Amino acid sequence: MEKSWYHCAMNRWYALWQKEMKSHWRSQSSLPAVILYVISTTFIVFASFARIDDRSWMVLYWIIVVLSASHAAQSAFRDTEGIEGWYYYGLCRVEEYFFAKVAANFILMGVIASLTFASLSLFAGTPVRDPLLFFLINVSAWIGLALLFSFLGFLNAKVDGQRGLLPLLTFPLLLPILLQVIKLSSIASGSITDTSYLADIYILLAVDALILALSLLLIRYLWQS
Amino acid sequence: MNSSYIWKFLGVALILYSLVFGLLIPLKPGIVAVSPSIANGGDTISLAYTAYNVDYSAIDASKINAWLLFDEGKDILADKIEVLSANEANAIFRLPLLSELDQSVVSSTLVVSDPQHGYALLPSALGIRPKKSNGSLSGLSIKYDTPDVHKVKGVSFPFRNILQETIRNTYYHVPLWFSMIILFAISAFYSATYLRRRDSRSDLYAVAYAEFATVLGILGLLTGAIWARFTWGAFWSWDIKQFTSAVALLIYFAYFILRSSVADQDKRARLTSSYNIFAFAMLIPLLFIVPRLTDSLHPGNGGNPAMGGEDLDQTMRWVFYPAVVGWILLGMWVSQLKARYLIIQRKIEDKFII
Repeated sequence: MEKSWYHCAMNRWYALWQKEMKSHWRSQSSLPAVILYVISTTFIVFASFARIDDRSWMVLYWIIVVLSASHAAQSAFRDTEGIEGWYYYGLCRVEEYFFAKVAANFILMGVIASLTFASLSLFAGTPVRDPLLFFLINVSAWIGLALLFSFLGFLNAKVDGQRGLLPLLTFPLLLPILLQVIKLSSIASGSITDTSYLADIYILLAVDALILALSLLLIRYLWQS
Repeated sequence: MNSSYIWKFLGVALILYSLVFGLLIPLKPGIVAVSPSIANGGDTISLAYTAYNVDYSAIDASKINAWLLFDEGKDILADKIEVLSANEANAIFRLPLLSELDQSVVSSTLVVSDPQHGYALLPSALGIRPKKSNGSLSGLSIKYDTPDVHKVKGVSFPFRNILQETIRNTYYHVPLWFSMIILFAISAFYSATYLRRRDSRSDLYAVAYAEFATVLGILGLLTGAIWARFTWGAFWSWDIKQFTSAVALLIYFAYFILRSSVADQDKRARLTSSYNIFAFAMLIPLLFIVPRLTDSLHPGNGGNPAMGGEDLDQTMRWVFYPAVVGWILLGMWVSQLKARYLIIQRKIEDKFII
């Protein structure tokens, strides 16, 4: 029986994703670097603030997550250029390659966020009053951040020699996500009371969907021609 | 003269028209201050008010009407007006007891009207504390007939108490933003055209439109800051609308930096076109969705109504809409000039390289 186009694509996507995860795991620098980045940022934060109120905790949490994710995304797209890039170009469709990266980045976001949560909680306790809502916010934010960092990381990898460009490109664009997420996190920590937060979650998911649609539409133009 | 120039001259003419009429047409009279702001029911008070855009030295004091307006159209007419100076006067009121009202303070609107300048009003001008009656002053209850409101002919803009003369900024600040959004949209459209056809002309058009849209955005932010100084109290107050507008400009600064950091022409065009489309789509949640859900002082955000109704009356529409069209046309003209300059520059460069 002939396998469908969809099935082949999913298989290729899965193989690429596995390869991504393995390369993250095996790489001497990427995962330990991220862990070190998160912990040292948390240390700097605690050296600067003696006491952290609930709202600042949430803001710091998201800032550390975003900074670490930006740092991790910079190294994630090294293999799109040069010989390796041509190899993947011949092997698979750009969408498959891109979404393998997105899935890997999503998991990386989860690791970074868990680490940040753990290290912040260890030093300052946790202000989260509504764990389910907090988890929901996190997952919807990770989707958006993973997509945004993957798309712009891909773009950044194409810019020759200017690795420092990624924060410049991403930070203004991730602001709609960050504003929604900080507002929702304050609700989850009980520092703001708002019963109609469902609309805010929908907006967050709508922004995710917008970024997803744009990435799907534009990613093929970033691949070398 | 080529007929394709007409829209360019139309744009300039409309902007000149909006500048001239937007600045020259006078405001309707208004009341800027009253004292005292609170009184007891049953008292006879002398309410001193300062009017704006009136000249009392030229008219007879007996022609001036003043009254306090309550809910449901009830009112108290002033017994007498004493003119103090060209724009100041005292209105003598015998206040009713208002004993039938079960409120601690009853708010009233001061209306002043004269045949030469027309009417002016100040909402919540005087608060009156009702006094429990023993029945002796029952004659001073609220009247139900409204005195004649003088309406004068002539073109004028409405007087709004917080805005005052800054209401004219509606013709500059708002059209600048409208024009900016339209030019960014055209820029994104040219970027999409580039990605489909791969012609460097479209790419250069996209840059030129984005550049002038950014200039308009900066002007919009500056006019907004000046307006905020006079209405909100500070040039910059980290209002969500100011914040997201500034971030929108940062996105386009990043676009120009991205352009300058790729050497190869085709690669630069491809990468920046993708980024331009991405950036324009992300402006929608940034400028139009997120600010609406957050507390904001800006009209149309955080539960505030947008400008409209009494704030944008018929006379203002006659200046406002031409200004919007004028700025869009001027923006298109400037952007096309820049694009043609870039295309010629590119041709010269190519000639020297080959």
